[in-house]
Amino acid sequence: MTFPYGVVSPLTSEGVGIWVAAILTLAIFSFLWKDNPFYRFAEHLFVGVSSGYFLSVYWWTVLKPNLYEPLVNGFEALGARDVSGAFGFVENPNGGLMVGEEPQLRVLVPLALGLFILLIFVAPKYAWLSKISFAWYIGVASGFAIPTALATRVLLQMEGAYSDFCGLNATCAAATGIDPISATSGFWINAVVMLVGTLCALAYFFFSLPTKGALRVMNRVGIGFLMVSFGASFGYTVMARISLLIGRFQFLIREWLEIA
Amino acid sequence: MIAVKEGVGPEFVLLMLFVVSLLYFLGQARKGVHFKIRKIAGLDAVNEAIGRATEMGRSILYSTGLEVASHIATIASLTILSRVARRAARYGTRLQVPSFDPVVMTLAQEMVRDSFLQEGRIEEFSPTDIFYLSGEQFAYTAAVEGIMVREKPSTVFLMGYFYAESLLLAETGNAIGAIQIAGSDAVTQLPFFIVSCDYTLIGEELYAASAYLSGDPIIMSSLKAQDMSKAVIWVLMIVGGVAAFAGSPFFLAWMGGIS
Repeated sequence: MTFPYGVVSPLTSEGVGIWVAAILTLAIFSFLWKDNPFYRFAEHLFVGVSSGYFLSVYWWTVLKPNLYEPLVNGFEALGARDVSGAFGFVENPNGGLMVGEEPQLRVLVPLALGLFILLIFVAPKYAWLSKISFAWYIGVASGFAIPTALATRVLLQMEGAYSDFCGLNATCAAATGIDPISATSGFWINAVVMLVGTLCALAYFFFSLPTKGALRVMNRVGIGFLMVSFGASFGYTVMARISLLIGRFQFLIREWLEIA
Repeated sequence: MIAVKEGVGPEFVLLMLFVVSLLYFLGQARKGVHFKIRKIAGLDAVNEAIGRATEMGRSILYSTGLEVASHIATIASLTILSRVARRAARYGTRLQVPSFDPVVMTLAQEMVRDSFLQEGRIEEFSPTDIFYLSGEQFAYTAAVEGIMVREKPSTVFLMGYFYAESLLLAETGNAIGAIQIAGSDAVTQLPFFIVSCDYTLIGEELYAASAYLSGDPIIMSSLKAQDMSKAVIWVLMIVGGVAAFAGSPFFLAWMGGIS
């Protein structure tokens, strides 16, 4: 079958995929006009397919390796009357037992915590047990997240704000192994702008101090720095989005319509 | 003797500093000291935005972002959600919370339920209004956009961590004429919220929101402690810059900037 303008045939195995992708792309683009049945169809299909896909991903990457397999192995060990092995304990080279890498039946604890959450839906009378699960989850996650956030968002930023000054000083540069930088006027300006910008931007986030006097000036300068940074980020990201749009059009024009 | 893991000394010192200042200001708050907090326009507008939805007889749509429940921005968003839910319950306004993550959905459901309970309106709580959509970024976005154009919520809250979908969501909210309040610590997405939302909470303003909205002096003491920590960081940067310029690599070495 011949299609006008050399449109790829939908009767081939490759063509079916291209046609489906092209029709769904156009259905999603139709939202630019207004909400319509084509967009709704694509939207619902997308949500449904992605939910099914993630259910499969969760099974193969989370539930099977982290719950099902340890449980099976643990119960098998229990069946063989290996109680310590059933709970993932191994021989310690120095004598006695130690916690092994495989959790085996120890996963019953997170399983119980997970089941507590399900009680909200299946047995609301016992839904209060879910608070234990949530407290555990949020507590442990915060414990991991806070030091990481401090290291990456605070300390690195602090270091970046003044490390250039070390490069400007031959003694400091030699002691730290940082490449000594020739103190050109451009580099001086950069080092000072970085430090002043960071200090003023931080000053904007003082909530409990009255914004008057020097702090008011710093607030204004700080918000100026933030807006310049947001503007640059906006332009950069818009360019990236435009390239995504171009990619979609290239698909429609080259692969579907087979033009050029 | 307290042992600190090698390489995390600066984190430990900053964390301890925060804990000590938090305990101090907590004590001050309990003694009746009132802390003044500067105005945050985006948070002052929360009540106005909920009131608008009530007057127009339309719903409020609240997105907690596209991160899991352990993410700091999501935790901050959920605490704001509970404040918004209390107001919505008080005024009898419908609140819809489409979720990206099943655990976040369950947490949001519990928080909204608690809020309705506290307002004595538990019979008006509808668990189906807090629902899971999809774990796929753009499937979630497409579905939320669809809800926006069909339900036409009067007020849209976009609070949490967002990715490339930020502008799509905010522009659709703008197109339907909703009053929009966004808040995020996603630096690359904040510009999109700033240009397309009525109010935007920038970074730490999102974290401060819970204490700010509560008005409770005890909770506000945490803001004071955060400011104290920021002041110390502020001073450390100046001292570090001066020390480096004078030839001392001490601060850089201490913070792990050099080996």
